[in-house]
Amino acid sequence: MFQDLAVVVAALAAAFPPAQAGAGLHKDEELGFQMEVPKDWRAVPLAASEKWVVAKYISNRELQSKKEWWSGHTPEMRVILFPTEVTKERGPKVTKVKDGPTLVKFRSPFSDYKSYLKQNAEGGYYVAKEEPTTVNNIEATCLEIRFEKLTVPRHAVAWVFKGEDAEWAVHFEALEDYWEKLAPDFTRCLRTFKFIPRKGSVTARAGDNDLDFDSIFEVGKTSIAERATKRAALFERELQTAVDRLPAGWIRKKSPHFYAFSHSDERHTARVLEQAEALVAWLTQNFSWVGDGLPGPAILRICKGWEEFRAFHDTSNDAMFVRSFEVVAYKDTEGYGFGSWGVNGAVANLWFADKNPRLRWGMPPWLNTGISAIFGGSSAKGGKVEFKLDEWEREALRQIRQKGKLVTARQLLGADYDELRKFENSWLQCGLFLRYLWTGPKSASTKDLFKKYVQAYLAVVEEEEKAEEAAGKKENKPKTEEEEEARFKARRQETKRQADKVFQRIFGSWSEADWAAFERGYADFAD
Amino acid sequence: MRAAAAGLVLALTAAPARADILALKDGRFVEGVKIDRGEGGYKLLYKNGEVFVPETLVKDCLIEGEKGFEPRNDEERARVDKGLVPFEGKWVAKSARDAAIAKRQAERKKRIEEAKAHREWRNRYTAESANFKFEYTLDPEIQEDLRDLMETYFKVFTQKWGIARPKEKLKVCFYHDYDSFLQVSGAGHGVLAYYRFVQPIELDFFYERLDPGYTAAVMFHEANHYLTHLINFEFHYPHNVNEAMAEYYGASQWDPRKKEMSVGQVQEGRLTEVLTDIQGGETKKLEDYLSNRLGYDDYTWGWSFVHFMMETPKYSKRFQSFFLALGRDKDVKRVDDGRGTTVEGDEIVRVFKKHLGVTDLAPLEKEWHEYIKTKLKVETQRGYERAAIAAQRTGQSIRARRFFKLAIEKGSTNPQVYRAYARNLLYDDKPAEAIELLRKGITLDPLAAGLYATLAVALRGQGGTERLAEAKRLKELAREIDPENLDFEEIVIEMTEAAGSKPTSRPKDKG
Repeated sequence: MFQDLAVVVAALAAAFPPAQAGAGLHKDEELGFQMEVPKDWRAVPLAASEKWVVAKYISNRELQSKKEWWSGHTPEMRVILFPTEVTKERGPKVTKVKDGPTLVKFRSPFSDYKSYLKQNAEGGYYVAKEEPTTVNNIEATCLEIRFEKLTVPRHAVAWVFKGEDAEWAVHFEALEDYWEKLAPDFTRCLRTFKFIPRKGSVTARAGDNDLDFDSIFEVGKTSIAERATKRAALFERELQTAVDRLPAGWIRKKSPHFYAFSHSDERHTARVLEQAEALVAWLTQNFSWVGDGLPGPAILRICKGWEEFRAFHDTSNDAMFVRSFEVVAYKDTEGYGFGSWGVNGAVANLWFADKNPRLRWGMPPWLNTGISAIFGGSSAKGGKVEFKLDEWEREALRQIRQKGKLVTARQLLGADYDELRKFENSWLQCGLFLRYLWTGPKSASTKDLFKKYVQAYLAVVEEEEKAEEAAGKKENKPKTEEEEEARFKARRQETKRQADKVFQRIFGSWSEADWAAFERGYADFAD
Repeated sequence: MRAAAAGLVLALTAAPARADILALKDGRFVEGVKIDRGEGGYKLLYKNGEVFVPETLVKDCLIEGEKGFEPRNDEERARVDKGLVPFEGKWVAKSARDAAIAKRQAERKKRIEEAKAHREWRNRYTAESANFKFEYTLDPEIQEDLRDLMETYFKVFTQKWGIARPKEKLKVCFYHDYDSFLQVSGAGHGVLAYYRFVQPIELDFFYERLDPGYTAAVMFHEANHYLTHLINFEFHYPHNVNEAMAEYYGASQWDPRKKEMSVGQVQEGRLTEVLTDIQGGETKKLEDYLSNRLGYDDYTWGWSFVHFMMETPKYSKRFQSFFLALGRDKDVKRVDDGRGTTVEGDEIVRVFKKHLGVTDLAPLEKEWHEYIKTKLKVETQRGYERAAIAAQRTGQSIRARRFFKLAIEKGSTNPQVYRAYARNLLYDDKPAEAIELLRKGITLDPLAAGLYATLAVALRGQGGTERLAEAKRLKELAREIDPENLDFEEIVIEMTEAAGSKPTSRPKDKG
C-alpha cells in the first residue's frame, strides 16, 4: 500500500508546481492573481483542510513587543478568497444518502472578510477605519484593524478586492510597536495586487466537501478491510493536497510509515523521522493486542521553527485537524525543548485511532492522561524509544511525595476527570502509575495487569454500547418526574459506574492484603 | 456628566433610496424592510408576511416618504381643498406642516444614524463619574442608570469592607450586545464579562437586551473582583473565595428609582445548578472547596457556602474577618503567582479554621448542606427560567415543563423561554399548546425570529395543506427577520426530516 502511494505522490509533485514561492512576487495562475510580497518573507504551507486562505507568508524574523515581556509576533500576510458562489450558500444543506443516514452540513461560515475576521481573529479588535480605493482598476475597500484587548497590541490592514466572482482579502498584520515602520511596505505590496488570466476555478477550494473521517472510526459498523480501504483513499487525497500546497524550498522524505515534508535541515528531519518510526515500532511491539485495526501511513510535516509551526496551524476556524493523518513538528531553535511533545502524542493518537478507535476516543481518564504524559516526553535513541522523566518532572514528583500528596492507585483507577483535576499534578501522577503498571508489579496477581485491565475496559465499553443501543430501541419516555430523575441520576454516574464495573471485573477478587501489597509496591516505585 | 468623545467623526453610511429604520427600546435596529404606521404600532412589511411591532417596544422610527393625510369625510375634504391639513390637534397650512415634519424627520434620522454609528467601537461614547471612566456603545440613558448603580455599589462595598478609595478611576467598557463584546474585548465564547487585574486594569461586559436584570447581575459579579482587589492591590484572591464572593454580590438587587441596592439575595441560577448536582447524587466537600480544588463549582457550591457564611449571623463577622485576613494579615503565608501574590489551598484552610474557630470541618459541612436544602429556594421568574432550562438540559422534560409554566405565570417575557417551552411541548406531543404559546411569545417580541421557526415546525407537525403552506411562509419569515441566523435548529431538523420522509399527514383538526 505504501509503495503505490509513493508513486502517486511522485506523479503529483511533478504535475502541480507550487503557487507559493520564496518572497518577491506571489503569482497564482490557477486562481488568477498576483502581488508582491515583502522582501525576504517566506511562504507558509497551507493545511490540506484549509479552504479560504490561498496564500500565507511570514516575515523572516519574529519581533518582540517593546511593552510586554515575552510577547513576540512575526509579521504576516495572508490572502483569503471568498468566492461569491460559495459565500452566498449559507445555512444547512441536508442530503439523504440512499439507504443510509441523512447528512447535515453547514455551508459557508463566512459571508465576507469581516465575518471571517470575527471568527478567526486572535484577541479583541475593532475596525478603526474603512474607506474605498481603487488598485489597478480593481475596486477595493481598505480596512484598518486594531487588536487591543486581551492580546499583545497589534495592527492590521486588509484590502478587500472585488472581482467578478469573488472577493480577495489581503491581510497584513504586525505588532503595534513596529506598525509605523512596516506599514508603508505593506501598502506598497497591496498596491501591486492585480488579476491575471486564470487557469483554474475560484470555487475549487472553499466549495470542497470535508473529508469523511468519521466513518473510518466507526468500529463494529464496518469491517476492518472496509475501514482500511476508506482510510487509504482519504489519505491519498490528503497527501495529494499537501503536495499541491507545498511551497518551494521544502524537502520530501519517505520512511516506512511516514511521508515527511520538511523545511528543516536534513539532520533534524532524519532525527524526527527516526523518533516517529521508533514510536510506531514500540507501539506495534507492545500494544498490538489493543485492537485489530490496521495502522496506516501518515504525513509528517517538519517546520523550520516555532513561528512557521504556529503560522501553519493558524488556519481558518473551519479547517479540521483533529482527525486528519498529519503530524506536525518543528525544529526547536529556542531551546525550550518542547519540539517533540506534540509529535509523540500525535503519532500515538493516530496509531491508537487506527488500531482501536474505541480505545482512542474513550480511554479511562487516568489512562488518557497518563499516556499523554509518558509519550509526550519520550525520545528515540538508536531507533529505540525511551521514556525518561526530565528534571522538572522528577522535582515535581519529589515534591508530591514530600507533601504526602501521592494519590493511591485505587484512587486513580476510580477517578473521573473531575476528581483527577483535584489531584496535585495529576498528569504526572497518572504517567507515574502507568509506568508502574508497565514495569513495576511482578507478583502472580499483578502479572500482565495492564493488559488485563485494558482488555476488561474495552469489553465493558463494548457491552455498554450494545446495551445502550438495545435500550434505545425499547426505551419509553418517562412518565413522572421521579422516573426522569432516576434516569438522570444513572446517566450522571455513568463514568463512575463504568469504572466500577471494570474495577470489579479485574480487582473484584483482590483482598485488602492484595491491595496493600500493590499500593506498597507503587509507593516504593514512586520513591 | 456625559460627553461625546473629543474629535468624534461619525462615519454615516449613505442611505439607500428608501431607508426606513425602526429603533427598538432594547437597543436593536431594524432596517432593510418597508415600514408602515399602524394603529398602536408599526407594520414591518417583509416579503414573507407582515410583522406588527407595538409602539411600547419602539424607541424611534423613521419612515421615509410617509403618506400624507387622507380625509375621512366631506368636512375634512373641504379643509384639505383649502390647502389645510391636521397637525397636532390643529388645522395648519400643508406647507407649514410639511416643513415641521421634514425638520423632525431630519432630526430623527440624525438621531438614529448617530446611535447606529456609536455601535462601532471606533465611535464609542466616553463618560466619567466619581469612581469610573466609561467607554460604551449603547444608548446613553442605559449607561447612565448603570453609572448610578456602579457608584452606589462602590460606596456600599467600600464602606462595609473598610476599603480606601484608589488613586485612579477604573476604566469600564460596556458593549451594546454579546457579539460586540466578544469581538472588541477579546473574551472567549461563553465568557460573560471580565475584570483585567493587571495594568491597564479594566472591566468589560455587555448589555443583555433579553434580560436587563442579568446585565446588572453580571456587573455586580465582575465589579466585585475589582472591589476586592482594592483590599490589597498586590494580592490576588484565590479562585474559590474570589468567584464565590463575586457570585454572592452578583445576586444583589438594584432599585433604579430609589437608587438603592440590597445584598444577600439568592443566586437562583447557581442554586439550580447546585440542586441539579444534589438531584444527580453529588455533593461537594467543604475541605475540597476551601482547598481551592473545585474549579467551576466555586461559582455554584462556592456561592452557596459564602451565602451560608454571610447570611448566618453567628458566622458572618468571622467569615468577613477570614476574607480580609487572606489579603491583609501578616501571619498569612502568601506565595508568588507571577503577577503578585496569592494563597494556596492548605493555607486557606488554616486561616479559615483560625478565624471561624473550628478544628473539624465536618460539622460545618453538614450545616452548610442542610442550609442549601432548607434555606435556599428558587422562587422568582428568573429562577424558574433557569431551573426549567437546567432540567431540560439534563433530559428532565416533565420537571422542565413545571418550571417553564411557573416562569411564565410569574411574568416571563423572554422569547428564548417561550421557544424552549414550546419545544418541550412539541416533544410531549402537544402541538396545539405549543402553537398557542408561540403566538403569545410573538406578541411579546414580534422580532424574535426563532419563535417563527419553531412555530413553523409546530404547524408542519400538525399537517394539512394550509398549515404546511403557513409553516413554509413562517420558516422563510424567520430567515428574513434574522438572515445571519441560518441554522435554527428547528429548520435543520425539519429539513432533515423532509430529506428522509414526507411531512406528517395528520387530520387537519388534530391539536
